[in-house]
Amino acid sequence: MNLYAVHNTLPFTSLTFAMFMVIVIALFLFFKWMKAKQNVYKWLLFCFNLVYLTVLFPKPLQIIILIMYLYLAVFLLRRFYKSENIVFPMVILSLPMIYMKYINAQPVSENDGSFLTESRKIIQIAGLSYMIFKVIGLYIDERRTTMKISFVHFFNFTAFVPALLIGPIDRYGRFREDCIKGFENISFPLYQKAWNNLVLGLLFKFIIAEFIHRMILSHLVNDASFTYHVSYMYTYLFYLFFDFAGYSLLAISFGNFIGIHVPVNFDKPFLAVNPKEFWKRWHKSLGDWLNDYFFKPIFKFLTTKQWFNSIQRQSIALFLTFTLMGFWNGFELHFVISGMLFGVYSVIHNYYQHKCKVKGKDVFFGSANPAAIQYFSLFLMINIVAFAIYIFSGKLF
Amino acid sequence: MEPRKLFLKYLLIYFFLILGFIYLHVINIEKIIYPFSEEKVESTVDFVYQQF
Repeated sequence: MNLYAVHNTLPFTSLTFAMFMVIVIALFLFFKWMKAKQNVYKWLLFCFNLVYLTVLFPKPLQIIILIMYLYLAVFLLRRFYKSENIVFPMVILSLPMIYMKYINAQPVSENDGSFLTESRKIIQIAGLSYMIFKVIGLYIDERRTTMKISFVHFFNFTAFVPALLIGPIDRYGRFREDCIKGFENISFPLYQKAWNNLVLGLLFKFIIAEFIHRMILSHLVNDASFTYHVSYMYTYLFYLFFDFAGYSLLAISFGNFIGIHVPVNFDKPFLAVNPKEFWKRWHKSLGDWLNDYFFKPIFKFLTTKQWFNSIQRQSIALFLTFTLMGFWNGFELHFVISGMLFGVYSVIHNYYQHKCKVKGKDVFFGSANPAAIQYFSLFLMINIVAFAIYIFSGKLF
Repeated sequence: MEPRKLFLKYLLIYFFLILGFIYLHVINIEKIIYPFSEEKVESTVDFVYQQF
């Protein structure tokens, strides 16, 4: 790994990024110390994002064009599209992502000069999906408001470097408020929080996840046995958690250092006792996003049609939401099935809760010891999640 | 969280952070435990986030 590569530095992957981070934090502190005007903050953030994208990011031109496309799409949709139906805007905004997922699912061909191979090189931009999810959220939240969306705020929001690659998925309104408060947000308590997140993030990503990857996962011998698959399943689950949660903590920490309250993404997910709670603890920003922009509109649409009763509507909306999440991860079969499996878990739990409510008692556990129910639920959740994540990993098919 | 527990929590975090850094990045314990394994690319980014 080239630690000092220009145009090859993804966030939190190299010493170049660490040095860049230190310089940026020092600059923000300097401007605060100089008592700079609030308006300076958004321009400073703009310069920081722009310098990163043009100097360090692997595909500078492509990502700038993508941001321009998204801004133009949001502008035109807000201006000319007056319908309440959000499917068309969602598709328009998602077009680059849909195309990227489509070409990712095609068989790999090395430098054969075909249109597919060439377009793969252009459109495969790290963090594209997260960027598009953020912009879809922005459009849905702001589509009815008359407030102008300034390009500087839009750019800062979509290209916010710490959360560029894999989130957390922020909301425009909240992010804009932080930008308006500007240097006022940078304070000693937030620095303390930032430092604590930084230390924990480093431990998670660069020690525990790296240890699991280098010492266990890389050395599992694939003899196609049941033991191998089970070992891989649990090891991959913990690797993914520590790597992802560590990255999220680093993103939150960097955001805090420059006065942005990046939302929390992981909150002890292995303590979840049901699928609903799991998505409030694991990749929380995605869970909230899916709830607001997929589940609720689908449920609302089904409610207007009167085709199904309430529990059926909830279940269909849940299943479709998680299936769409699977497609968001990629068009490959293992991503889609993993998403559907999470949907099935949620539907089963939803029916179970409904039955308990109707019967006025726990239809599965009866009057068993509450502590025993708790431990059994924890055990069950970890195992079914491990299985779904194992399918997601693409190791099985 | 009460101060004593907080102190212990961060003591453990710093301890494992320093210990892990020494073992993984200074001594490179992988080479000692698996001396005959092939050199691997250390970046884990492509491994997990390629689909995003």
